[in-house]
Amino acid sequence: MITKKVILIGDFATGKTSLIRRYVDNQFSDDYLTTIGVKISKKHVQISQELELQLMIWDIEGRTDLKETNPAYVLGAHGVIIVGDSTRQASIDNIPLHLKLAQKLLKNVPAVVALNKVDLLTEDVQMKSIVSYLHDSLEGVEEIFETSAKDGRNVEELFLSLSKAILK
Amino acid sequence: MNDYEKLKQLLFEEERHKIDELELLLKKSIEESTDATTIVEKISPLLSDIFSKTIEQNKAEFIAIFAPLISDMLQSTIQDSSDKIAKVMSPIISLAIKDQVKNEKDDIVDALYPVIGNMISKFVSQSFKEMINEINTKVQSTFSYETLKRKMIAKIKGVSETELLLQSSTKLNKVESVFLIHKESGLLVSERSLENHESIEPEMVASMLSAIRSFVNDWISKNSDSLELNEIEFGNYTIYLEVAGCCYLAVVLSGTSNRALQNKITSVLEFLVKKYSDAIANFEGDKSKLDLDEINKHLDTLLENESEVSAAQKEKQNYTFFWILGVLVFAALSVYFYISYSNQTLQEKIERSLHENPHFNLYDISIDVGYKSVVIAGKLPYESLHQNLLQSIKPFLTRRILEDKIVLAYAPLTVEEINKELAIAFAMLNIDDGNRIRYKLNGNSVTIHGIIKSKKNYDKVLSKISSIEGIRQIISDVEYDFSQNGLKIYYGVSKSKLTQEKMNLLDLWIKSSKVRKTLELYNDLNLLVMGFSDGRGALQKNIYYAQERAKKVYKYLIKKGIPSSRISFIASPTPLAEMVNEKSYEGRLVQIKWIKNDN
Repeated sequence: MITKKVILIGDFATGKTSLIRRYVDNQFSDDYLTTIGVKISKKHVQISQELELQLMIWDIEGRTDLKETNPAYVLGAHGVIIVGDSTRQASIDNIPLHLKLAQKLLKNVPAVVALNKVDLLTEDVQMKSIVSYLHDSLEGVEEIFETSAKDGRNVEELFLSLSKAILK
Repeated sequence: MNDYEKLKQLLFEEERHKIDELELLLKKSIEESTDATTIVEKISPLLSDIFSKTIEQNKAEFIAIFAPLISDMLQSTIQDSSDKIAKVMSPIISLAIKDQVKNEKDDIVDALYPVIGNMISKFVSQSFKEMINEINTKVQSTFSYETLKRKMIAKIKGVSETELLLQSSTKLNKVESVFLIHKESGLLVSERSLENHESIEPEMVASMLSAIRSFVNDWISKNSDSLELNEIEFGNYTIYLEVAGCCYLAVVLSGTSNRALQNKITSVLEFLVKKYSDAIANFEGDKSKLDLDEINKHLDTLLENESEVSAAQKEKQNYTFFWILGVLVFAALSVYFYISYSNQTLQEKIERSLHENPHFNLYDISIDVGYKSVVIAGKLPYESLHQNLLQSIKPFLTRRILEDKIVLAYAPLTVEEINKELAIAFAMLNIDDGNRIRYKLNGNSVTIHGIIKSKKNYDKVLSKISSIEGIRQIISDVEYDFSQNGLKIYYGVSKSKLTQEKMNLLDLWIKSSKVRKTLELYNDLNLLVMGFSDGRGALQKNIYYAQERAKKVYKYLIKKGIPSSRISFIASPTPLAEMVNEKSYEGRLVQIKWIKNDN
């Protein structure tokens, strides 16, 4: 089986850890995250009947200061998930910065964006404007998903899309 | 009133009527039947009722009454049937201890601490005793290579033999799992574990270890890139991390890591990196692209179980021993070869220098150059040669001592041998240009004749010849410094006759110039008779006279015994320019000259 490293980056409290908890098969205790700044989880993704991918998901602690992220966690990744909190404009504004940082360390690696916590969003119009803004300002992003760790909306789709992009 | 009566009173005060009833019943029962068991059967249901009710109502008092009794009861029961008590109590006790430990951990620790100390020391001392016994038997065991080696190492290191044995009896670490991990991505390249020690979620472990490694490296070595996380310890386990450029090995072992194991890990990683560095560096999570079987084979060498490890280690130690032995042997051999080589070269040098002196070639002289001495042996016919030999060898000796085993053998030399000696002596002398010496051996007398340029050379020859054993007499007919003189015979006008006077002159010249001897000794010299005229008058006449003059001298010389093959004549109608002066007769002449023939 093919194994790939996928990283989750994004601002503090955008729900990265929740997204993973919703998704993965296996993970280490959340305690590690606060200790060393990364949490490792594993997920098997059935791409097609014959093709199964094993994702090692590195949930990198969200920091407000982007430069602080340990580059060693990012290096060697085959896919990037950037998570923003759709209810917090600042976290969305930082998505391009996270993407740039990852693209600087990783060459030609596919990335997807998760706009999380959509369950909290009352207005659909608001969401649509965010997505259109991101579509305009992000380069090298495969797809933008509106996700919810709470109700599981688009979570599987998010990882599946990235997995397919990795194997492309 | 004692306790019992008090109890009786307590029990019966309120239920006197019941007891009365009982009494009646008892009496009745006893009347009905004398069988004790039936009585007990009948009373027993009542008794429990009585007790339970009493306890319910007067619990405290009841306890107060029974408490002193219980300890006595227990004591006597334990004395009588301790086994049964133990059986009954054991499940409760373990539960009780567990509970106690859970709730009052610190108290338990404090309480047990002094006892445990003693227990452990007792246990340890017992173990040590056993170990020492084991060691003693080992020490006393028969003489073997191992014991000899241990004794030697103990002597060299200044460590007691027992300590060495302790080291060897200490259990080695056991490698339980090995992870080969892609450094950058933290993806697992391969994981190998001992049987029954299979890792749970090796991929997760690999990633987590990578994260931890990155974290620690980032955290601690902010200013120094070369630092690496090498070991993670927890309890009795150690994770040893060995990092190379593209990947790293994480080795989980029980016990602490030791140098031998670290070296082994390093060498395995080194090998893998050397062989698969590109493949591993480009690892994208697809194991099918790697030669995983080969990699695993190498990783498995780290998992060799304890006995194998110790055997391997033993073997390694043996190898070191053999290495040392090998190096020593090599050193000894090279010293030996150096000495024998230097001996050999010196021997060749001496032999070569002796070869340059042809005299020594005639005799079988053996030269044996050793480390400390040079031995010469063989037979030489006479002392002067012997002394000569010693003088020739002396400059080569340096620090070595000359052992002279030369025997002087005065046995008369054979004619061939003497001839050989003579041939050498004369060949040397005749190398000088101008020396023309021949010798003739007749029995033990040598006749020398010839021409010699200087007296000095001749003396050398004489001393050489006289040093040849077997020669008793030297007859010398040698002449010095021969110069090849020519002769000029002048003629009157139109005269060509060889007069008596002229013949006498030629005779004298032949004799005084040792013409015959010269011809004999100088193969390369021939005689040329040149006839000249004064060039005045008719050319025809001049030619005639020049020819006549030369021809007559030529014929006369042949008549006098000069071989015709060594003499020739030519004629010239005019004299040579050098011959022309005021005296006209000087142009009419015959000149006899020695000429070098070109053959």
